[in-house]
Order: sequence, then C-alpha cells, then structure tokens
Amino acid sequence: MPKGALVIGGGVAGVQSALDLANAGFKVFLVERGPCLGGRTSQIHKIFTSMDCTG
Amino acid sequence: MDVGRHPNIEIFANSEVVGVEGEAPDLKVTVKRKSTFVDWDKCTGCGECPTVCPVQVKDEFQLDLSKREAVYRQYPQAVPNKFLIDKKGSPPCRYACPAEVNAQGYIALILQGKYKEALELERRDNPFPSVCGRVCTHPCESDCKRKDVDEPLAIAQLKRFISDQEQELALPSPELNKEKVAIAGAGPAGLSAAYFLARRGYCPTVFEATDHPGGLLYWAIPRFRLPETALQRDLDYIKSWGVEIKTGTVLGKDFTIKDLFTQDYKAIFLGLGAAKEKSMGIEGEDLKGVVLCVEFLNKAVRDSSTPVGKRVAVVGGGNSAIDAVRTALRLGAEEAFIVYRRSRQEMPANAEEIVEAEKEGIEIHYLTNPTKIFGKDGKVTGMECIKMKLGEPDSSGRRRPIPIEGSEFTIDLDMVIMAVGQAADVSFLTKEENFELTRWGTFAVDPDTLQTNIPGIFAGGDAVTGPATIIEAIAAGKEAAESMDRFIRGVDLKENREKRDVRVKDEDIDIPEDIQTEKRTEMPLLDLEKAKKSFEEVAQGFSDDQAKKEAARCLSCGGCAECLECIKACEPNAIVHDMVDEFIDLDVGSIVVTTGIDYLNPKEASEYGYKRFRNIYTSFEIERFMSEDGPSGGDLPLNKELKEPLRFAFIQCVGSRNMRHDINYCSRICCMNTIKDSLVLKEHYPDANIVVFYIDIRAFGKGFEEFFNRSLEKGVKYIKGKPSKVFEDDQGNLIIHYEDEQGHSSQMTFDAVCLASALIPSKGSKELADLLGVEIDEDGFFKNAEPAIRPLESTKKGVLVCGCATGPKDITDSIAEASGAAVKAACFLEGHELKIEKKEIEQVDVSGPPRVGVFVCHCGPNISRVVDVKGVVEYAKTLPGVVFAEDHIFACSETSQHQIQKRIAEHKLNRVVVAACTPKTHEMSFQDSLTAVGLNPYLFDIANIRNQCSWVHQKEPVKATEKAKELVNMSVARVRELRPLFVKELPVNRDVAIIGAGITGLRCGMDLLLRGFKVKIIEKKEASGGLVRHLSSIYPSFRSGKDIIDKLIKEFTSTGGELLTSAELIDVTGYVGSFQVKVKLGGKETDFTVGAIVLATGSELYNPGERFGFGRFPNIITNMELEQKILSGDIKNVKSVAFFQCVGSRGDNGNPGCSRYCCQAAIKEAIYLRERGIDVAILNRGVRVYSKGAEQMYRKARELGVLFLPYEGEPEITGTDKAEAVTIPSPDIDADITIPVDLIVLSVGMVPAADSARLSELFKVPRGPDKFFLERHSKFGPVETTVEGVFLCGCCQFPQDIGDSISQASAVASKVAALLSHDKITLAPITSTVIEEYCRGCGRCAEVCEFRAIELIEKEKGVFVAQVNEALCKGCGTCVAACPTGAIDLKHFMSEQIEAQLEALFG
Repeated sequence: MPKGALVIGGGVAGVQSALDLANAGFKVFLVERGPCLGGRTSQIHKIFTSMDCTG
Repeated sequence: MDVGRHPNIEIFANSEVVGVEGEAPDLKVTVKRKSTFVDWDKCTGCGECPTVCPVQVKDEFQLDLSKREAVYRQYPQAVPNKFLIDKKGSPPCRYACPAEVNAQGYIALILQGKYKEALELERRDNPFPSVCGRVCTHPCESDCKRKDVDEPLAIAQLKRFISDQEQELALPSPELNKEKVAIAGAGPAGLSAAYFLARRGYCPTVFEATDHPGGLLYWAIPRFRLPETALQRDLDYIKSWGVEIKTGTVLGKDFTIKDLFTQDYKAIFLGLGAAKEKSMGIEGEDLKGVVLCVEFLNKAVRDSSTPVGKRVAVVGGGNSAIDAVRTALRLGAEEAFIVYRRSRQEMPANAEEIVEAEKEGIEIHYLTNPTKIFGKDGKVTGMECIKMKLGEPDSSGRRRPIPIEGSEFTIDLDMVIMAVGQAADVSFLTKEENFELTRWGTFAVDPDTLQTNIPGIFAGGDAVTGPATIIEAIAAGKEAAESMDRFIRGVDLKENREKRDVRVKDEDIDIPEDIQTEKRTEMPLLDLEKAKKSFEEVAQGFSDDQAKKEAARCLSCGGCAECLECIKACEPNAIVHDMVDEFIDLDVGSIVVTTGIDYLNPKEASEYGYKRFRNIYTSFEIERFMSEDGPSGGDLPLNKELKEPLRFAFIQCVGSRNMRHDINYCSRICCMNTIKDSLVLKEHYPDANIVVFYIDIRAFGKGFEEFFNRSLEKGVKYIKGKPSKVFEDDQGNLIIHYEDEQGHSSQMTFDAVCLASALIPSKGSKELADLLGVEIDEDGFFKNAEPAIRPLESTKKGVLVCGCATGPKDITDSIAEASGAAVKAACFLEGHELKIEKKEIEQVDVSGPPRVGVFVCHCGPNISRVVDVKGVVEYAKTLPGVVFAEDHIFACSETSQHQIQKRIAEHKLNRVVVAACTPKTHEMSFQDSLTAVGLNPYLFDIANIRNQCSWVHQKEPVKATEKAKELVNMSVARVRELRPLFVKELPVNRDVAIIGAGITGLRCGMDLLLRGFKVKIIEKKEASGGLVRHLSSIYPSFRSGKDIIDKLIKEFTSTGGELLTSAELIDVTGYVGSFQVKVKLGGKETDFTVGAIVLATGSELYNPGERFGFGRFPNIITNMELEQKILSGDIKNVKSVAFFQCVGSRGDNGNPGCSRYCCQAAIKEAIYLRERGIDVAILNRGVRVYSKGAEQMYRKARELGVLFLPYEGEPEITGTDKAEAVTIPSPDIDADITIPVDLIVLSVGMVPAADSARLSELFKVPRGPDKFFLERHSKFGPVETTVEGVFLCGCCQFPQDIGDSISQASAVASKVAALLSHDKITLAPITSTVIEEYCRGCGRCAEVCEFRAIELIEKEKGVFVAQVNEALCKGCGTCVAACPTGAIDLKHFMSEQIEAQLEALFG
C-alpha cells in the first residue's frame, strides 16, 4: 500500500485536501496545471460575505 | 504550516496528469512537468527578468484584460513564487527561415531601442546581418502572420537597420582552444561554417580560390544593392572571431584534401558554390555581345566603366537577371529590358527588386522566350522570341510555360545577357578523392548531417543544392558546424538532428480583436535619376522612428522571443531556454480530484452584446477590475464620461438554468457574488443606481440572507425578470429590454452591465475523467457514486471528487468537501504517520553575553538598488553586541543559509539578525536553519529593509539607507534581550466523542472508525438518526431516510463504534488532546477521556405555534408531518394542497436566515402529490433550489403542473371546520387569488437546538447572531471552532441539506484525524505569562480572551490571580493590552524587549 496520495488541482479545494492529508502524516503529490496554486480564488477580489480579500 | 513549505507536500506546478494505471490502492500515475524554462531550484522570485523582457502577451490571470511580459509569475504572492516563460512555439518568421534566425527576437529588441543586443542576437544564428538585411530572399516575410491583418513586416529591412546602427564593430573575445578545421570556399556557406565553429572554440581556416572572400556576395551582387562596405562589415565580424581566411588558394591546385588531413585539420567543409554558368543552348549564343550573367556582373564589379550595349536584353527572372539589367542601365545602356518566359507571379526575383527595376524604367517582357539570336559580322543584332502561355504546374510548383506556335517575333538589340542559371561542378575533385556525386554533379551528402561519403568531410551550399539562396547557404554552414563539432567530439552525428522547432499553432497566435491596420513602412530610396546613373546603394535604410514603427507591428506570435535578455538579468543563472518537459512516475494509494470550474463565455448569449458593446463585463471580470492589482487599478474601466450617478445593471443566470445553453443547473454562487459586487460598487460609487435583474435570489447559506438585506438597505434595486436583450445607443448607453413583474415589456438605460455567467466544468474534465476511469455526469461534472449520500466519491474506488469538480459551489462548501475527500483518500494509504527521524543536536550555549551576527540581504537588486547594503553591514558592526556582520545576495538561498549556519559556529554567535524582507516570507526558514545547528530559533529577528525601505523609498536612497540602519539597530537591540523559548508537548488521547447521532454524527463517526480511531457517539434521544430518520425519501435518489440511517448505524456499530443513546452530557473539562467527558447513562454517571470532540447536534424545526392557522384547523400541518403521512400512506380525500414556504425563515418571526432545505423538500413532496393527481400550489418567496439535481426536479414539478406563486406575510385562510381556501394578493393581475385547499403544508425552517445555549457554555464554543454555533472562519475554517480540539458539522452550524451535512461530517473526520495522528500535540511557546505580584485579580484579561485561556484562581482566601492555560493561549496579546497593572506580558514580545527597540531608536 503506497504512502502517498495524489491531489489533482491546486485551487482552494486541492490545497485544503493536500494540507489535511499532509497534516495527518501522509505524503501528498499536488499537481496543478497552472504555474502556481490558488486557482480561481486567487483571482477573486473579495469574498462574500466576510468581504475579506483573498491574498 | 502553509502548503508551499509543508514537508509532506510535493508540489508539481505547471504539470498535468498524463497517465493513470491500476486500481486503488495501487495506482501508478505519470505526471508531465511542462517546461518552465526557468530552473525553479535556482529562481529566487526576485522579479528582475520581466523588467528586461520585451514581449507583451495576454495576461490570463487578468482574464486577458491586460498584458504581461512573456517571462512572468502569475502574481507577486504566487506559490511557488517562481518565474516561468511563456513559449507558444517557433514564430512563423523564424520557422520559415532556413537558418532559424530569431526575427521576432531582434524585432522585440528594436522596439526597446536595444539595437546592440538585437544585433548580437541576430549574429547567434547568422553572421551576415548586413548582407541578409539587403539581399536576402526573406522567406520570413512570406509567412509573417501580420499579413493576415494587413501586410507582412519588413523583417529584412529591420535586420539591415540593426546592422547599420553598429558604429564600432562588436569585438568578441573568442577562446579558440579546440581543434583545427578546414573550410574550402569563402562564400556564405563556408564562412558560416567557419564562424559557427569559431563560436564553439575551434580554429577554422578558410581557403578561398579568388583574391577576395565573400563568394557571389562579393563577385556577383551589384554594389547598388550590396555596397562593399556593407559586406565588409560582416566579413570583418566573422574574422574577429578568429576565422583565418587564405585567399588565392585553390583546392586541387594549391592544396589537396589529403594535405589538409596531414596538416592536422580534424574535419573539412567544402563550400565550393555553383560557379558554372548555364546558357540556353540556342542558336547564336556564340555571337559577340552574348554574355553570361555572373560573368557580366563580375566584370562590372571589377570595373564600373565596363562597356555595355545600347539595347540590352537580359534573359531570366531571378534576382541575378534584375541585377544584370539594372547594372546594364547604370553602365550606360540606352535601353535595358528583361525577357522572361513565365508571368510576374512565377518570377523568382524579390518583389521589391522588380518594383525598383520598373521604377528605373526597365521593361519586363513576360511570357516570352528567346528561340534564336541573330548577328552580323559575328556581333549580335537581334533575337527571335516566341510568346508563351502557362500550362499545368511543374515540379517546382510553378505553372509550366508552353510556346504558342506561330507567335515568333524579333527584337533588335546589341547585347544579350543570359541569366538562366548556374550549376555546381565539383567533378574535378573526384580525381583525388572518391566522392559520391549526384546526377547534377553536386556532392551527395546525408541530408541531416551534410556529411559526404567520406567521413569527416562535409559539404553544403550551392555545391550540394545547386544554385540556391544565401540564407540556405548560411543554414548549411550552421548545420555543418554542428556536424563537424559532433564528428570531432566523437558524438553520434544524427541523434536528435531531425529536431526543428515546432511552429506556433495559428490558433495560439494572438491577434487582438481591436487591432488597427497599419501599412508596412516603405523603404526610403535614392533619388531615381541619381540611382539610374550610379552604383550608389538604392535602398537608404530606415530611420530610428521608422524602424520602431515597423517593429511595433510585430504580433509576437511565439510568445517569448528568445531574445535572451532575461539570461543577462538573472543573477542566479536560473534561465534555461532549452528546457524540455519532464515525465515523473508516482505510486499513490488514492487520488483526489479538485479541478474546479470555468466560466461560460457570455458571447454564447449573444443577445446581451458582450464584446460587441462597450462596458459590458462578466462577473468574473468585475473581480479583476475591482482588485487594486487588477487591469484597471481597482475601478471600472468605463470608457465614457458620467454626467449623472453611475447606472449599473447586473443580469443574473446568463447561461445558468438555461436549456438553450445546455446548462440545466443553477450555478449556485452567482446571486451572492452579485450581491457582493453591488456592495463593492456602492463603496466606489455611493450614488450609483444599481439594478439586479434576477429570476430567484438564492441566498441560502449562513449569513447570506442578511447579506442580501444589506444590499437592499444600500438601495440596490432587484427586478424579477430576465432581460431579453441589451443594445447600445449612439451615446454609448446600454439599454436593457425586459419584462416587468406585470408582464409589460419595459426598458431601462445603464452605463455599464455585468453578466453573471454560468459556471461550467473545467476545461479538460472529460479527458481527465477518461484517464482516471471515472464517469462524468450529464452536466459534464465529475459524477458522484451516489448523490447526496456519497458526495465525495467518484464512480471508481479510491478516486475522490470534491469542490467545483462535481458542480459549482462556494469556497465554504468546497473547503469542507476538500477536507472530507482527504479523510476518504487517507483510507487507501499505508499507516497514518510518517516517521521523521529526529537527530539529537548539541544545543548552543546561550547563557553568556549576547554575540549577535547580522546578515544583510541584497535580495538581488531588490534592496541593493536603493539601499547601500555594504554601508548597512559596516554600520551593524558598530552596534553593541554585534560580533559579526556580512552581506548576502540572497540570504534566503540554500547556500546563504548554510553560510549563516557556518558563521554561527565560527563566531560562536548566540543571536542572529537578518536584514531582508518581510518575516512572513522567510522567518520560518531562517528559524529552521538556527534549529538545525542547535541555536534556539527564538533568538532571532528580521529587519524588513526591503518592504519598509527599498520598496517604499525607491526615490530616496540615502534616507532609505538611514532607515535600514535604524531598523537593524532596533532589531539588534531586541535580539539582545530575547530569551530562548521551548515548545511544549502534551500527550494525546486518540479517542473521539461525537455529540449527536444524526446522519452527520454517524457519518463523521464512521469515517473516523475507518481511519482507525475509537469513537463514541453521545445521543440524548432514545433513537438515533435525527431528522433524516423521519423522511419518506431523500432527493434525488428517493431512498427512504430510515433505510439510510439504519444502514449507517449498522455499519457504525459493526465496525466498533460505540453508540450511547439516551445519554445526557453532564460536563466537559480539559483541552485539546485531553478532554474529560462526563455522561449520565441509564441513571449512572460515567467519565471518559477523549482527544477531540465533535458537535453534531443538529437543529430543530421551527414550531409555528398558532401562526399560519397552525392548530386552528386540523388540515394545516408541517412538512415533517406530511412526510409521516406520505410514509403511512395517509393522504386520502385530498385534491388540493398548498405549501407555505419560509415559515420561520428569512426574517419570519425573528429567524434571520434561509433554512436552505425547504424549497427542495417541498418540491420533492409536491412531485409526490402531483403524481397522485393532487393539485399543488407552492406559495414561495423565491425558489431556492441549488443542489445537484434540484434544478431538474424543479423543472419537472413545473412540467407536472405544480403552481409556484409568490407571496409575502401570512395568507388569508378561510374555512369552518377545516381550512378550505387560501387567498393571496397577486401583483400579476392586480387582484387577489383564492385557492381551494384540502391540506396546507407549512415548510418550517430550521432553528438552533434548544440546548445549544447550554452546549455553547459547556464547550466554550461561541454562537453567532443567529444563535447557531460559530465556526472558526466562514470560508476557510467552516468545521473548526475557536476552541482547539472542538469541531462542528451539519445543522448545528447552520441549516444544510443532506449532501452538504455529509461533506462536513467527513471534513470534521479529516480534521480530527490530522489532529490525533500525532503522539503529542506541540504548543507554540509564545504565550502570555502573569507576574503574580502585580496582579490584583480584576479579571479583565479573562474577559477579553476569546480563547478562554485565562481564568482567575483563588490563590488564598479572597485573593485571586489570573492564570494562563498555555494549552489554550494563542499568544495574541489582547490580555497584555487590557491589563491595568502591567501584570501580564507576552513571551517573545516582553516589555523589556520592546523597550530596548524604542531605546535604540530614540536613544
């Protein structure tokens, strides 16, 4: 049984999955098509309803 | 810890999964890492490369609304924070060039005025820029993409321009230390071979038979086209590389090939040209006055007073023919003309040469072929010609000329110049060596390597191809140089030789939609009359302005121009232009798919005029526009002047819920997003008139209804109705046509419109699904194993799907699902703890006086460009306690960190200050470096001299340096006072208690059991299963609630879960890792310890009391009672049912939020009733269906004839013994509607459970204004609470539907598993500490502590002091500020430490 999991997509969901797995002690390979993580969320100006910025 | 630094996470950015084999847990995955052209191990993200990049391409991060450089990172905070280069392929110009000269590159550099660099770039591929800029046949221009817009760029003339700009010849400093090579023939092929070999370090000698190098460039191209000085410039440059040219040395006469080998030449290139001229072979060619073209041109070159005839015919259509005829004119011919057998179209001469010749008065007789030359007294007097016509294309692709019989005619003339071709003749060499020749008498060579049949002897140029172009000869020389290098090094000659760059795909070439046509810049020419009489150069060359104007027309087809400027700018040498894709094989146990969504391009909804009219945006574009780092700097890019307050419209559901676009579903986030955008706009334009055209406002999440109300309060107007079209008037106003609520067609005028376009499956989803072997649903999203019940599983074992990959959803839901998917993925992985071996490190003794080391970072040029870094170092050395200081180019780099570690040992440092960037970026990595050499990581400080000095004071370097010194001074003062701190570890109990045995608690418990944890569920009721147990069925699978619950309970208990029903929770004490839980069970109290607690206490249904006629008539029931009736089949004698929605929701009777489940539940129930012939009306306040399959269910209900009627307030109910009719006002018909009813169903909302107040107190978990439990963060921490170790999921947080509750349940399991996977919990040592003698026990600290980490304890009778529970303290410092006596201090930020900083600054 391998020790690692693969996460495809590095948006908020992918990063969250990867962190949860990694924090539980597993090896994670996080594959993102674009040049960096963050996905759509990184392009959003403010998020409802807290109006926080996404940076 | 963040994702970029997590030791367990390996990030493959710019990568794709290209292969998947096997079954979970034995999956073999292949990942393709696409080349970034930047070595990410070396890239420091300093940001220098884009400052020199000349190419601007569309910025997809800004949704193509602005441009960026070809070398880029998406945004400054990107993770990984690395640059990459955007290459689309070889640009058409470069691809068309035989020598692959980088035209796009030098054109980009011209635009920047970097002429020297442009020439340098050109010369990497071509040693003859001055020549080719004048006389090349420029195939680059033929394929230039600009021709699709207007005309191709004047590429050759730009090349000439850069070579003309060279005032002093660039002098390379060659290191020729390799073997000797010999080249025969100093034409373009031979000289190119020599040049490219010299560039590789070989010592080339060129043997030339004539007395001048250059071949036909020198001997046959007239000076008015290629002045001698222009050629000489290139020759001088070639020589400057150390190429030795021996003229007057004839092969076969003065030396032999054998001689060369014996003289230690390691390889030979034969660039012998095609010197033999051909004639037509017609009668009269031997007459005096009939000459061959090259011979004629050659004479004219030697002597510009060479005699010429009065009437001169030149036979042929190539550049030489044109050269000859123009030369004849200049030598004094009264009339010179061309005879050519095909038409203008087939003529091989350059078009501009033909035009120039025509301007000079030269006539061209097309479709004319000589048949005979007449003479008198042995001298030519005339020529008989025949008219031709064009037939079928021949092998050259040109149409074959066919003589027209009987069309012969005669021309009087006294000179004929035959320009009908040349041929190679190398047969003389075969006497010496056994060369294989072709039937045309040229060398037979390997087409890839140019090697002849004799190893080590290579040939190229016209001697191989027959007469061809200069650029082909240069290409041959270049190719031969590669072969000869390989030959000498003993490397395979052929390997990877077929490589040619891949041409950029036409569809990838970005031609802006709004491109302005701009004609090609015309070349200034010498005055015509002057030109005709002299050999002065005709083309005068571009001026600076003309060159830049022409260069600006380039479309940058290839993306990166490979101008190589970034290489020079990159200090860490990270740029690798020839990087190739990499393929990596991975063994994994499971896969989580989180591929997200794309947006529908609203061009598809053409009625709204997107991209046709100005000021129409998509909602996603609004995000970028309103961002300060966006394409318009944080404001709308309105291109009109506002005379009155902004009029702005949002159109909802563009594409969504729309069969026309095949988008059957609700995109779920657009309503909230529009509400948010309306509030953002109101901040920018407080007077704006904002109108939202909507179908239903779906504000169903926690706090959403309140958010919606906020926009209403701000004056945003909501109009129910879908606009039919938008058009633009001549003032640039946008007019929206729509149908108002009364059904009248209306119109309204706006300045700008935002289209809330649908969310669609991410591009490539289908391909990825095929690769993974999982199914896609009818909407194109990843399909769930079972909707609602198994929302995180795909149709294949071990492949989990979550977030928007399965359908649109907001961040909160995506984050919860992502965590949930993680716990499921973990079940396929071995073990649950990676053993990281800890080495015992000898600790540095820090008890002595401070010995501070200061390390000042240049951050590449980021700091040093402004701040005098060396000055800061010298200053630091003078500070008290500093024993060592030095500077680093990049202090964060691995090399520098090692260096710092070395310095710690060498100088016995016990404190470290780094003056660099923000501590947010690298503080942890420096601390790790300290830890690794045994120095306590808290004896460290960062002075942020980049953000706070060099960035904000760019224009004031002196002051910036002074400030940097002050910051270093303060840091040193602080670090001297710092004390070592040590992390504390607490043991962890690995058991979990879940409060509540509804579907959420059970699911969470089950997931934890599967991960190997012991779970107790505490349920206060006798039966478990919560509300779901009582549901007749759940949509969209229509399984009964009881079945689902029973199955789950069985699974839970048989896997070892403990289910304690009728259990009363009495008390909870302790903290994360060790909570003591006291429960009363069967009259007895029991205690147990757990490491984590999950609140899954659900919610209760609103009790309508006597409202809505409830209790007044027996046939008014709640929806839950209807479920029971459906289950028991007790719906008899009912013909007509009315549902009242939002009873106890959305502000009704004080309950602020939407209850989220009731619209979908009512529709499910309505369908059940309707299918049994019962009339159903659903009285609603907007239909909020958003879950997977729900929109389709809503459509089905309408098709079945379920009536949906809007209503507000309590409807009038009439009847005597029972409710018989319901009356509501109808705005549509401006009258009341009365519906006869046999049954009224109240869709009651969800309210917080009665004991939630007690539980909140018990667990110290706060509740929000709506009295539901409050999560840690509404988006990024939806299942955590502010109390570490206590989690929440399902309806105790806010009403959810079943699918969302289940996802949250799994998410909590994931969080708990991560927490309890470790033997110990480490506590950060930065906590508050109480100085007891100052504390007077007032308790203010305890009041302000949101983590409830402080309590007052009775030290002795009546004397209270504050005590900090370090397990709960987060080190926020709020208590320090609140303490009136200064009795609390925060470790690492102690008063004396801060005072020392202030003291240092103010003295």
